[in-house]
Amino acid sequence: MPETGESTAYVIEMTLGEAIREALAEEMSRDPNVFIMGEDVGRPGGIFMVTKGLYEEFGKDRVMDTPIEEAGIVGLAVGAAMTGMRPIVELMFTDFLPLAMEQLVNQAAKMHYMTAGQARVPMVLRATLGTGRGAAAQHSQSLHVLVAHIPGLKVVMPSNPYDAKGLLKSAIRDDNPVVFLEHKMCYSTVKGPVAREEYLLPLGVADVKREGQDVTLVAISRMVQVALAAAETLARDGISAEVVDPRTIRPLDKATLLKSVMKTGRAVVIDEGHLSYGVTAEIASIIADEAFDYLDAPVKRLAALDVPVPMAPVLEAATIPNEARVVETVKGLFGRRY
Amino acid sequence: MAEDIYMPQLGLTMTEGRVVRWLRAAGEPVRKGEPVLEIETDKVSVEIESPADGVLGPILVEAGASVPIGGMLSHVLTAEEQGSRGAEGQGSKGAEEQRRGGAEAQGSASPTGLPAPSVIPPTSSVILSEAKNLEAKNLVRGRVVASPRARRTAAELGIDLVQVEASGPGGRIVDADVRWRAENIKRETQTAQREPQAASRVSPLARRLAQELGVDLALVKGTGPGGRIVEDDVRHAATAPLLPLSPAPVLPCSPAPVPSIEPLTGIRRVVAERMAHSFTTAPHFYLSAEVEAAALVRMREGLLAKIEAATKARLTITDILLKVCAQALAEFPEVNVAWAEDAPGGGLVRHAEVNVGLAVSLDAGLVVPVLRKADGLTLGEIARRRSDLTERARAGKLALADLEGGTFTLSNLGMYGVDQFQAILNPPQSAILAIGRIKDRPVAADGAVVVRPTMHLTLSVDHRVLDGALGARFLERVAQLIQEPYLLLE
Repeated sequence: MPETGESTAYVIEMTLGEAIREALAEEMSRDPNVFIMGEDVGRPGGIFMVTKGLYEEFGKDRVMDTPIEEAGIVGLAVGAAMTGMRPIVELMFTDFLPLAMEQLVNQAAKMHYMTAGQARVPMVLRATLGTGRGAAAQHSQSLHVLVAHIPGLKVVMPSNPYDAKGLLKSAIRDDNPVVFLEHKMCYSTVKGPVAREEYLLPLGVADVKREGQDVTLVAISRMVQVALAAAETLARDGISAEVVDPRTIRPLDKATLLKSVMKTGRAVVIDEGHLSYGVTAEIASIIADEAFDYLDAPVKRLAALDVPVPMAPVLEAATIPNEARVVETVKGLFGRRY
Repeated sequence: MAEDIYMPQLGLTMTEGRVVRWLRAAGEPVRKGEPVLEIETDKVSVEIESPADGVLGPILVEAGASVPIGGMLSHVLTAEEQGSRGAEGQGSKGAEEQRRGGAEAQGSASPTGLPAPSVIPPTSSVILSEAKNLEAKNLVRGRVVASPRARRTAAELGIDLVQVEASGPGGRIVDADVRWRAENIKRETQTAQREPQAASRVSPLARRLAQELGVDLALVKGTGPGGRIVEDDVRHAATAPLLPLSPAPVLPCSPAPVPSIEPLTGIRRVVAERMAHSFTTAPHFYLSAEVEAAALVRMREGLLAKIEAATKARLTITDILLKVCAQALAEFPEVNVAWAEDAPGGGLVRHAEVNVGLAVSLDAGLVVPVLRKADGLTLGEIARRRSDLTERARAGKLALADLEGGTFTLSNLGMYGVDQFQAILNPPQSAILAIGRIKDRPVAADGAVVVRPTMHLTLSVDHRVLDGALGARFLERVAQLIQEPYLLLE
């Protein structure tokens, strides 16, 4: 999986959470302008323990605990970034994005454009998304579409440790604001090989996680794991599914998506955000528009139901795409009953 | 959502089914579970039920036509879909008609918004030619339903979509269907193009050699540049017996009669496919033995009247042989096995039940109804069931369940005066016993030649799952039970 050929001999297995911590530590060591702000990110080590140990390693001036005031933290970061710092803000949940929208949408996203590049906002906003903890409607949402809608913001959504590390390092070095969204259920459950040597992954390049011939599954964040499991099941039934992970939903690597769909002729787009006006709608529309003559079936979308996320675990799970729904949807694209 | 009605797969060996008749017409209301049409599968007729409450959609496969399993037959429009279609029709009828154009616009829309019945030929009365049939199917909604990819491929390959058989959901033509059509056209064209070699396409050396060796150049396939016939081709043709690559030259005085080829239908076709498959894939070997049949004949005569009085069925030699086979199979579970055809790399299936099939000849072909758990049946029960199964087989009234689950087959051609024969395995079964006639034959007994009734048994065995010694022990036990049938009471 590592793209730098020679480093494959020097890989170690780690969780997604560990890969992110490594990226943060490496970038803080490399560049003294990089610092972290957020609620409980210091001595407690972050709500999901991702920044654990960084306070001890880099000190209180570079790993700062803040009051519970999202608009304020993000505003501070925008200002610090404009003065040459490279702040990384941790926001706990995307559910809290609305509190910081003014700073993100009207300030961070606009400065570069409105000052003709004289002021830049090289900040990273990290937050978690996704269901799986029974944390109810205000702590389980996947609101990435809110920021992906805004020109001037980049939105990264890694699905495995290797991608998470390489993409986060690139995000920190990017001269524009990047929203980096991590699925809270992947921190400790998704493990994978990560190169020991330093590497960067460019923002805006999709990755084919599994090659196939019959149908393209476009999946984002944790849904990549769901798609891979579904592809395995489908293979047993004689359907060869290709799994494409955009990795960043803005900028979106249209070329890789379209190339895959032009090959397979069928596409199912899977995301944990809500269905209506969602990321799946955007991607499906691009496919329908630009690969129309290559489609052998309508583009299908699987996303969270258009309801607030329920708290009861059974109901919560029922609102989210799962392997069975992916398999069923794919089979519906083929006339013969598989 | 419209619920599709597919050609179901009703048995492991079924690859396609034929629509016998439609019980409901397009546009008629149907209820979930209500029979909508009748299909003929491998060997039986089955009614297909409606998958939902609603209205039957266009009939995509006429009565009499065959489609592969999974092929679309029709669909049922549920109340929801009817509603939306109805509203569409009322709201912008003019535009709708304009957009659809073609066949549908000419007919009047039915109340449900379905295409007018005139588009769909009445189900049973009109038998369309294959091309016409396809055209009707494809234009059933007023326009060809094809995916963009299929349209693109059709344009690239110059394929007329109306002539393409659809396999996608809802009868949509997909890419693979267009490519399939293109392949077929290519194959047909290639066959048509295999004409006698032009005179100039023969090298001078080859021409001289052909004359010397008496080789007909019209029958030689050229392998040289541009298909030219060269020396090697002629020499090869002179030594190898040639299958004519081109139609035989037509002599001006007596036009050769063109043999007509009858397409195989129904059971005949299944027999052809299964037997060719079995004989070419299962490595057969054969074990035969001659057995004395006097005790067998005596036993039948002794029981005939009693069993007929009790069951109204006439006990036959075959019935006793069925019992013998069942008994032997129960004693040799390692023979009661099958080759796992569908498993990757194959495998061995051990059957828990002893289900003995009996080959029954019909005018239309051959069927093998099955006596389930035959080892637990009395001779009376076997006689009754066998006579019921054979009668229903001849009347074409066997149910699918009567034909499934066989683990062994008995084939008796004794009544046709056959002394002995070798049967082809009934896949995926691993053994079949072929029985010849009982006839007085000279046999050696105690150093003298005496005349006794005997019969020949020939066991065909699939060598992938059974070996010679085991087959021999099994056959030995069958022979013993025939010669001393009272052992059945052991």
